[in-house]
Amino acid sequence: MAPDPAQIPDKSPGGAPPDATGRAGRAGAFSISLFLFAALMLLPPIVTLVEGEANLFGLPVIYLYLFAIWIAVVALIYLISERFAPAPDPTLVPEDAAPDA
Amino acid sequence: MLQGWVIFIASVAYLGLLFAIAFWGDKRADQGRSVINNPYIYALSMAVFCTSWTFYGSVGRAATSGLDFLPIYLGPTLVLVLWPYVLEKMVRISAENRITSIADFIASRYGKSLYLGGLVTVIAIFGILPYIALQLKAVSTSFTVLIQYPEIVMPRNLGRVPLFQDTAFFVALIMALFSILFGTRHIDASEHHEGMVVAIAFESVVKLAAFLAVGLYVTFGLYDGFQDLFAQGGAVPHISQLTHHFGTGGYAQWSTLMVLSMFAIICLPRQFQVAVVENVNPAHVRKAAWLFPLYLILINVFVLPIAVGGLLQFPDRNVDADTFVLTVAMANASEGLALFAYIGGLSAATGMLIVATIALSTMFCNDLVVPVLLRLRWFQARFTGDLTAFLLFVRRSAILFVLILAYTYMRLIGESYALVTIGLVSFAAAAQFAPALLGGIFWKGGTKAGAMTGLILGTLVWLYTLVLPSFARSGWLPIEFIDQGPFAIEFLKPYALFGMDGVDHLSHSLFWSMLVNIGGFIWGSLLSRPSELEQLQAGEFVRKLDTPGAEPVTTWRGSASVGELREVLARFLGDGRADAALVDFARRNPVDLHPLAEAPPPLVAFAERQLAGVIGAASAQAMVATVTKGEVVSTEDLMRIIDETTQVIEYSHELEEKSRALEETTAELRAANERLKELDRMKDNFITTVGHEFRTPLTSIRAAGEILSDNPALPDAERDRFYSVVVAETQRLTRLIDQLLDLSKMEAGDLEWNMAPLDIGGVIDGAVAASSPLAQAAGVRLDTELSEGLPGVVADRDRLIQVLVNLISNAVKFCDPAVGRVRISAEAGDGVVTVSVADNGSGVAAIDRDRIFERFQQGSSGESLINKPKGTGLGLAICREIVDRFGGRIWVEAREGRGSVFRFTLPV
Repeated sequence: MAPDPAQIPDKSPGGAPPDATGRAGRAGAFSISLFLFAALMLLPPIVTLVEGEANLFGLPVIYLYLFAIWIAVVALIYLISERFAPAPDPTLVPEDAAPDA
Repeated sequence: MLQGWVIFIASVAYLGLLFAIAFWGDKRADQGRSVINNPYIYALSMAVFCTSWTFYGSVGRAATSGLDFLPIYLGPTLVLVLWPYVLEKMVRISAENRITSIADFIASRYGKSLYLGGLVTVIAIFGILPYIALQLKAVSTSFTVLIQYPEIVMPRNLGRVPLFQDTAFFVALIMALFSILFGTRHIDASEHHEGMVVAIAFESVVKLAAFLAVGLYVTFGLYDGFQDLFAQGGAVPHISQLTHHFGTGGYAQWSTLMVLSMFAIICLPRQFQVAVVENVNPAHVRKAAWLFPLYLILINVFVLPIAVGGLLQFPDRNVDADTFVLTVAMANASEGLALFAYIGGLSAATGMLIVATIALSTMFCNDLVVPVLLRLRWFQARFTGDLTAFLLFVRRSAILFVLILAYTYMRLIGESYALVTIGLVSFAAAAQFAPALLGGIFWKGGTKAGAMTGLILGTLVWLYTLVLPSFARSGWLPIEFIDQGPFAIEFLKPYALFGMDGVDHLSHSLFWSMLVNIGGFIWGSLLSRPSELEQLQAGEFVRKLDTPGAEPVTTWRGSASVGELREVLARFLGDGRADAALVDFARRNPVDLHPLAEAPPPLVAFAERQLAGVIGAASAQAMVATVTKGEVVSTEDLMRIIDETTQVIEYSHELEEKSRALEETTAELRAANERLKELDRMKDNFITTVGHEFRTPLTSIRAAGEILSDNPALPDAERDRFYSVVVAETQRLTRLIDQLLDLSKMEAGDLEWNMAPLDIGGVIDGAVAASSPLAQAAGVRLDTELSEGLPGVVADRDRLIQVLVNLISNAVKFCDPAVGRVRISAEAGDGVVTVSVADNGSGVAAIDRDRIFERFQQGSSGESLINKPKGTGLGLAICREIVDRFGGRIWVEAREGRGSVFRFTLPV
């Protein structure tokens, strides 16, 4: 039996007040800037710069570049979501997981 | 070792393990120890994104086209960067509204529209069915290839496999069984399918491990690491071309694939299922936001190396690149690895099959079948009792139906072009949901009409620019349709609509379909008027970002009895669950559960949400409407009330503002009035004083004049005395008038000032010299005391002397009559020069110290009261006016001992 949605406690990370200073504010601003950064680095015209016959450490530069950016973006998502977004309150165990009545 | 029976047993064993894991997951859930309440399982289940199309197809794509397999996985990473805005918001909305599928989500957002839900379902089924067929084909192909070991033969050279020898057929049946067992356990589709999710997560681990194993084997087993592999590949020109450049589609296709995959990760029904419907806790999104992209990186690292390895291993190109993952191991007699790779491919395919089938069958049941059935009178008349068994039957049939349809599709269309490209064609179909979905959660103004228009237009263009031409290329339509356009209309050529040529087909289709989709959505929304329910739902969905966890607005006003509500619930949930739900509600809310009692609005809303989890929001709303008598939805009232309330609040707010402004103005007016009164009084006083001041000398002059004219025989001495009185009083009068004019000129700012740098010592000396005759006449001694090195000041010399003379003469006048002493001193400090004039007279009373600088106010103390005033009463007022003008300050202090000190400052 899932609870009446109205009864579900606020499970936003940290239950922070939803104002500009809350999660959507700080982590949100970081998220949007990271999104723009990633889109910039992974779309033309920037990516055209790495296309070509060049190799680095014996690997195609374009291959290295794409994975390096990708790993950097994931690392930054990790930093933003785990460091800047406050951790969720562990006491709020979701009731949805309860078995059927 | 790789005989047919080994492969078969391995397949069966793997699928058996899958069943066991799912069973275990459900069992744990029943015991209340959920396995899926865990962000890692959640992230792994999202990896259902990687199907056999990823497992086999990425390598194939890399080997034929280059790096452009990558944007399909970069796009989802970009979307997950925005997790707080997109995914988490969708999860919260869905949890609160008990959303069961993407069709339900979109229908719910646009006023619980039955038609919209149906439309999304139809598009999803047509778009995804071929994709499911593709998975079956991959299973079939991989099995066929593997079983030829040690030969490497492509399936196209083997002829058709009979139905009952086709692995894909059995896999389809087994998957149908799995989906039925673990996908329709609950009647409530918004409940989590725990077993299924655990199995999917397990499959994600298996396919990743298998792919990494093959990748490591190729890179480090067959070759000496990445450098060696790429060096050997780089020596072959066409391989070097692949590894150093974007795909053959160029930048346009690269960008298109990125955008398409961004839409796909939230719009594909199976992704919506695992990421949104199966989410247990919105907090899991936070961790999955980096875990899932990490998974994507891992599964993509070896795609290019395997492709290069495969191309190097099979230089004569008689092996499909799509099978490299299998055949590279087979060619090198690594039987165990080949089997593992096959199992990995199987897991990638089955994972997609399971989730996509469950998602589609839920949509099919809730958004197509139930709405239609509930509208049929004969159905209503016939099925009056418990419908749960019937609903489960519909859903299970739908699963079987979808899988058999997909299998048939695969058998019929087989090797055609249509199937090969279908992965991206499916993505493009799912992308059509994006404007309605994203627009729905970010833009309150989106309406049902807009969403309908956008979806229909976008899907039609998708059909015309991608699906029909692929049919033509497969030979089911005349090829002239592509080459010359329909009916030889040039500008309608499906791959070059309106003459747009030179772009790859996918980008071309995405551009036109998104143009009409987004355009239709926006203009349709702007030009239509949303119903009240739509407005309410729009507010509900859009504000989730601002106020997570806010209570949903209750839209029902009760006119149903508890008994009737319970009956409706029982029809769709079953008796037991219906009662349990009501008791559960009553436990938290004070409500009378007597069957005849009137159901309060929150209970009606609660019942609707319970139903929504079973039959979707649109049907749930319709069902509750059948038992709430009178008006169906009272939202119109509600909206009106909300409107009125908002207006009243606004008005009263405005009123408050105005009355505050009014008060402020009143206060200002009162102050101004006070000031005016004061000024009026001062003016009266002034006139009185001036009149009095004039009369005193005039009286003296008149008296002297009368005496002189009445007594012509006055002695000369007397006469002279009276004449001198007249002269003195006239002089005094003139001085008074001069000073008065001076003062008013100064106050009006008419006076000319000759400001110049001055040596203050010289000015003081000049003033003392001018005043010394007066002092000598009064017998007063003047002393001057100037500090060394006084700085220069900027002032008008004549006016400054006027101030000094005035102060000195005042001091002389009020000095001790016996031993008069006046001391003038000047000193510098704090950026000013302070000039003091001290006397040893009677001093100024404390209360007079400010007053004496006003016009006609003279010291009230001492002899000045007793005797006639000794001055005009304007001297100090003029002094103050002048010093103010110089930027200084003038004041009077009591002197230690006796007398007073007048001081003024001048800025340096």
